Amino acid sequence: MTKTDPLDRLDSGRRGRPSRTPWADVGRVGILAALLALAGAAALTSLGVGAADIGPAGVVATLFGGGDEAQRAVVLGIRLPRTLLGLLVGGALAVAGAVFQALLRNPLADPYVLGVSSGAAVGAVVAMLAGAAWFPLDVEAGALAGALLAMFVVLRAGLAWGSGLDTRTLLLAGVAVGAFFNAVVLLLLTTADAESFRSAVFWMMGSLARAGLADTGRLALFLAPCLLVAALLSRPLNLLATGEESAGYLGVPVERVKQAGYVAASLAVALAVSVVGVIGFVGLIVPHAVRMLWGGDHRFLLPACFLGGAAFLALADTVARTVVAPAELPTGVVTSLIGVPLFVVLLARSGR
Amino acid sequence: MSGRREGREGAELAGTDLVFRYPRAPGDAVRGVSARVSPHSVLAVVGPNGSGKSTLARLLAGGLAASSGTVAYGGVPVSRWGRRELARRVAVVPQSEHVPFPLAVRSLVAMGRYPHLGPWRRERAEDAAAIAAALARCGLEGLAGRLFQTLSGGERQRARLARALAQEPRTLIVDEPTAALDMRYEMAIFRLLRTLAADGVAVMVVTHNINLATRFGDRMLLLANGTVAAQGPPDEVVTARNISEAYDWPVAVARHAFPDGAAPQVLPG
Repeated sequence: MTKTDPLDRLDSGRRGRPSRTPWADVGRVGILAALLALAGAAALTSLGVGAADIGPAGVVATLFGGGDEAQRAVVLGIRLPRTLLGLLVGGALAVAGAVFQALLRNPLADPYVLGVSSGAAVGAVVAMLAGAAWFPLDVEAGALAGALLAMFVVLRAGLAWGSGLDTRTLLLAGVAVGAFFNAVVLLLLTTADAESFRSAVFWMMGSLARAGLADTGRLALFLAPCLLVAALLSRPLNLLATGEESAGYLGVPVERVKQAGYVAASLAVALAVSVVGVIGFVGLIVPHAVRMLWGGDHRFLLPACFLGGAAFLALADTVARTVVAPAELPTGVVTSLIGVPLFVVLLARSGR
Repeated sequence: MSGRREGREGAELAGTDLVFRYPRAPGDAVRGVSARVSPHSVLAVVGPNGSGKSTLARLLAGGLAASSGTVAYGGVPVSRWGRRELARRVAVVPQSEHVPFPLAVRSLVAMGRYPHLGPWRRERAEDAAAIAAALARCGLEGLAGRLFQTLSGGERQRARLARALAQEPRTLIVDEPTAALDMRYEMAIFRLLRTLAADGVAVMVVTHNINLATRFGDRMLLLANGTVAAQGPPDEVVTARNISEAYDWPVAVARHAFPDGAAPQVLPG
């Protein structure tokens, strides 16, 4: 290096403004630990609050084999499956949202932007109208089939244009396929009787009440590989988020990363939606909130999204089932009602 | 793939008889163009808008595959090189990119280590050193913690150049690095490219600034309508006749003596 290199001197007279990423020096491990604690607190709250209020100490005791018969029935039998499902789905949706945002390089992308949820809705409504609503598993299977169909159609469309997976075509195809399936849902609903209509609408608003411990376990088993693939793609996703061309020049196998990322994230969303219906907003705001607070490195962003999404959905669901008890609000409505104000505050603060 | 083909020096990147047509385009973007990017020298590619400069850069960089003709690095076709293997040797700064999410300057520059680290390996001391050196070389030390989005146009270009330098490449392809820069930064970037070439790097720069290309380029390539209108030393390429024909605009060319040597300068008529 030569001393006369003019760039060496260019900024000598001016000090860079400090990083605008707050708490950068706390360390990523510290933040993740804090988020883990938050998710744990959310789980304890979710397990303790309800018709029978049980304090955190009582919940912990019950989880570790203590507590009386009634407490065990409430905490382990009724609330635990739902709490675990909330943690799992919230985390998966937030991770999928972050992956879609990176791959589409679009901050507006959410887990449902590629039409997966609309496909699931068609499948679920068809299953309900076909008279299978008495077998919850069938609605689940129908929803999963619809979600996979939408995912397949959209990916095919994205691959049809040009030599690889075209991101803009994919986004357009996702929005178009989503609109088409939404129209199909509305068409089907015009033929439905009042009872099916009601259950279909409630399905689409999303609820964590339907699944038992076994469903949650099975969901976890299938979600794990999807989330693992997303995690393994973290560093390539960092590069892809800044542009496919430059990522390619840096040695990223762009096509393989894109296809693996879309399939993993879409599958995760399809699995989650088929069990809980359409719970909006978690997958949009959690990634943004994490980015705004701590930056966008996916090696940190994805685990932080999982923990943040898990905590957020577990808490939102607790509100959903307690605030108008003994009735329940749809969880998807509560996530938006709580999430939007929080998000707007965050947006306004980060703009300063 | 290592010592057999190249020493520490790096090797020549050569495109021969390249033809490329974009899908659904009426004509070839590049037609029968050959270009060599050699160690210790700066190749300056100039030409009017749409003459195929950026396409040539993409073909040489391996971002596009030529419909006919070959691109070889160190005598081996680029398509046979592994992506990361090539990226450890050849760095590219594309014309522009949109970064939609908040990203610290150091994180952007650190991406230049991907060819060396791959998807999973942790940053080592030598990676941190390469990143620090690249930041320093582009005058960005004070801005390392800033978000890329908050930088000025000139600072962004330097950050993107720093990412390429963090790759520690032996060949550097830069597409219009100074398009949005004021005179001072433009001069600084060209001098940096010159310094890199003196260190042995093979540099190709695509630019609209013919008058700097003649001063900082060892060789020049003038493209017009996807073909080579002239190539060789700046004195041979930048003549009133060549330039006015390529750009379809009358020009005068005068030699001007700069402190670092004389070079032909174009004065539009």
